[in-house]
Amino acid sequence: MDPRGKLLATIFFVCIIFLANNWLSYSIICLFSLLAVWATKLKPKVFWDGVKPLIGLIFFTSLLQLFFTSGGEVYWKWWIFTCSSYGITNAVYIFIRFTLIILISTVMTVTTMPLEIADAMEWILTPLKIFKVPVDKIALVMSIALRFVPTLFDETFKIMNAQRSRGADFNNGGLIKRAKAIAPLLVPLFINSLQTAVDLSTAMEARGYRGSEGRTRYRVLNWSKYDLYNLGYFVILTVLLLIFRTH
Amino acid sequence: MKVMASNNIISLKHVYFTYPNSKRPALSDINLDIKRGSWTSIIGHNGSGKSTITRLINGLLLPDENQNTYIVVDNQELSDDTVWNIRDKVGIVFQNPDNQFVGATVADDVAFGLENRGIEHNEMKTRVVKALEEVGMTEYATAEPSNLSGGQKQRVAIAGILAIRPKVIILDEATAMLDPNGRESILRLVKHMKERDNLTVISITHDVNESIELADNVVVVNDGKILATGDPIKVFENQAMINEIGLEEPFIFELKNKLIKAGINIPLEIDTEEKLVNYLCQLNSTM
Repeated sequence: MDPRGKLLATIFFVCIIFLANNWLSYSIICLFSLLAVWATKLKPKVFWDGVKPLIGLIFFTSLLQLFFTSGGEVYWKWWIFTCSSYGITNAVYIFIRFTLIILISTVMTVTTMPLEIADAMEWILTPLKIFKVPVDKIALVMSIALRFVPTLFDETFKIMNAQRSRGADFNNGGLIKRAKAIAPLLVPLFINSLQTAVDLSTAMEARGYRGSEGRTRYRVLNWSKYDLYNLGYFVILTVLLLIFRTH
Repeated sequence: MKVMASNNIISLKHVYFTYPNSKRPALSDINLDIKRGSWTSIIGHNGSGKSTITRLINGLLLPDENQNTYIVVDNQELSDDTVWNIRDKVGIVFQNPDNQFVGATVADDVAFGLENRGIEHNEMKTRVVKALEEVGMTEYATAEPSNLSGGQKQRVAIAGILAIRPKVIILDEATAMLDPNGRESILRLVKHMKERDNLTVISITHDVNESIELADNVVVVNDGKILATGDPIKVFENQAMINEIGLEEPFIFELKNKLIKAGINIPLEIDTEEKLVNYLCQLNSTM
């Protein structure tokens, strides 16, 4: 599928999820997201890995909702904590909301190459050209940055091993000691990056790069019928949510 | 200065160059002519000014102000107006394969030079496919640079240069970071391209054996000055000079000297591997 469609759909999803405000609309949106997850045909573990790091935050916010929302039938009360029917529903809603947003973003990130995401971002940013934002340059920077992520990781591990072989210890000691241990890693890495940048700019210039004026693009994205289906589903979802929303 | 059409694709006259913050000039009074369709090796130890010469040729560096200085590439004098024209004609492969890979994938990188020249999309696609085919990297078109070996990245860099169809290829120590196999295959590839398209190759190297094997012309640079130019065999015969600037002795001369020391008399005119082999075989049959 076209990454632009996916990026748009993801942003759109995060907005419309706030339209849901009763059990019916939440079930619709849940069903819809589960369909999207199912359509990726990936193992559930991938999605679990996406949710895992944020699980603390999800429970924390849900619990806050649970204990600090007043109104409805009060089941339990102690000092400032109350447990009411409103609180329970709100907590569950928040829980679902969080999980769904993370699920859908995971669907987006695991099915799209970082490079395609950068392309899609560029496409979305294009209207900013009216305000003289250098979108082409930002796009080039994004693609070069993404291209260098694995290279810099390799470099980092190499430097780490080189420093370890001379007795540096990165994993022990208190906070301050560890922060100090990082210096012999960061300084060479920083200098290397600058050197790489100089070399890269020379190479780019030698290959005829003279700013974004008059450049053509090798990589072009194509809308397919699936992207139209995808956006169509979102229109249906929005209409359904608007119908079943309680006022 | 009036520029005349000539056999020399590149001419440098009275070129001086001083890096900012440096008291000594990196190059002084360089005069150099490079014949169209030749393979020239520029050789010298680290810091002798070899790379600086190539950066002057396509305007990445500007020579010191001097009335007599002029740099001509393919009958065009290098100036602010012609610098992009000249860069279209000169492709450089740099030393570090990682630091010259601009695109996020192989095909993107090959297309980078074409994008800069505003080549139309369909034309770009056919050229990229063809260039990748020529360097034998077709199956890696969508690979990311972090998954390629150094030799493969250099092949991609060469493909990126072939795609813009230059007249001169400069190898700026392009094989220095590669293993012997990678080095040999890259050099073979460049030689093949050179002969097919009548390109001019300028190779900057530490490797004297490479110069002897491939170059028509060798330029020895030391401390920013040209010490000798000419036929590689003739230049390297001057062993006193080679030793003085700290270069490695070519294998053929090393062997010859060892044989002479061991008491085998080898005539002076034996100066290629082939001649040496023939001579030794003859010697063997007469013994």
